[in-house]
Amino acid sequence: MRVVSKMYGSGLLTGLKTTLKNAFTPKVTVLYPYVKPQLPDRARWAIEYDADRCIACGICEQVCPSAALSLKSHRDPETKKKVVDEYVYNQGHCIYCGFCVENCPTHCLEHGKTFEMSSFSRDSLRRVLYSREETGEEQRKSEVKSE
Amino acid sequence: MEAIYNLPVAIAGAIREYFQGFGVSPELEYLLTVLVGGVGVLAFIAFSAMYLIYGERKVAGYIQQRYGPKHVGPFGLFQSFADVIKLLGKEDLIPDQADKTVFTLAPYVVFVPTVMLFAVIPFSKQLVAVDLNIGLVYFLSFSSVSVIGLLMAGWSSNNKYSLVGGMRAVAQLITYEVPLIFSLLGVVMIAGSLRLSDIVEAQKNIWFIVPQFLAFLVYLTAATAETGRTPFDLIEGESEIVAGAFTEYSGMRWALFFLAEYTHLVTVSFLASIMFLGGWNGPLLPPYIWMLLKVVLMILIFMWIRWTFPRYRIDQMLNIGWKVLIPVSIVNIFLTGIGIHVL
Repeated sequence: MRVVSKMYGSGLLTGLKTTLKNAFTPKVTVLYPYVKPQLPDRARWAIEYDADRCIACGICEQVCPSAALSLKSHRDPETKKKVVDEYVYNQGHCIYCGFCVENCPTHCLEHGKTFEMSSFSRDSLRRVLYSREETGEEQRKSEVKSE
Repeated sequence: MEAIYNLPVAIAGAIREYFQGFGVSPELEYLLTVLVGGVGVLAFIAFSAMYLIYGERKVAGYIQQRYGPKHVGPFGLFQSFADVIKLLGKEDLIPDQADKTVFTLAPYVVFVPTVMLFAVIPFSKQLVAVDLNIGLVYFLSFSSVSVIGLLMAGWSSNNKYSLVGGMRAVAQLITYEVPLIFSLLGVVMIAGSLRLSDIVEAQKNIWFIVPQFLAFLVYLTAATAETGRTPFDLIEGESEIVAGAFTEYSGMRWALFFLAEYTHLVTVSFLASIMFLGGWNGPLLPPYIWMLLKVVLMILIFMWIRWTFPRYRIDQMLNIGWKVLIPVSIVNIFLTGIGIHVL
């Protein structure tokens, strides 16, 4: 005959004790938007672009599955190297897969940590990350335009 | 101190004097005072039901390691008002083939008897609307009337899920009426009276939870089943049969069922405090404060149970009702009888 070592119904009391204890433990809720959540180190959000390092190879544009990146470049007559003119990142199409970041030969693309990206119009999601016309002849590191 | 003790009596006296100032006949003055009292009880019921819903959400949240409502008003206290306003704005849907009269009447048949129970509940020695000498019988019989309302709701919705829900609800509620009543009979035997204030008076020395602990556990289980709370909440199975008997109800009609459930919770907690926890007896604080504290404690226990246990199946639930609780409560009566004879 099986010996019952616990009192009949002790499972009920264990359950009640657990819930009572839970009621006084710290909450796991993050009170967004008053408190920003802690993102992990490898969180993949909007792309950030360093125009200084870019060699305008166009690999990112070709590898992107959603056609979110587009690159305009011209060949510098003196150095015979390609130079980027305009770099457009369509955040609305981006699926944050990271192919562009992985495949960039000069590592000029990296994932940023901005996740608050909602906007009121689709057009404002098409972000020009670098434009030679705006910055003049000198190449400068582009800053991520925020809404 | 005396002032705090006699606060409700002082308020009642002030209201009566105010009406006396109009120079009306004593009968009319009495009637007006009683009317004010009735409105007071209704206001108490409405606010307690609303704030119990808020309290339930907060308790549920804290048990689940999250906050409950937080943003509407300080600490989320105005959440209930926001909910009521939302419900008032909803469309009043009556299904096409539904039995309109029965459909409309069902929420009232569920809600009104529950409100009528407040007539016999003693808030303290002086604060009782009608101190019937068969107060307990009145209480238990009126809490049984609301069963027919659920059957009406289930039938008139012209919806098979509602019908199933209604039938299950009736089965559950009539099953658990029996142990509910039997568990209270032990208390009645010791107190020697059915009048609720006499039962509280008999607990001056020792609260009846001590000699009648088994009856208290049976009462707790039966009361959880009577109010239709988890683990016996098959009535509104939620994940199983949409909302059971209440599937076709929207807006304020549904809100009336919901209010009836929380009012029933309040009445059942009042009965537990009166029968087992010593009613208004207690040192230091005024009696009505003790009464309210004990009721709040009982309500918190019911909520704690709700957010701990999973739901029973219908066959398990009926098994527990007929095969476990009724024999246990009968044994309790038997032992109480022996105890009274011996001691």
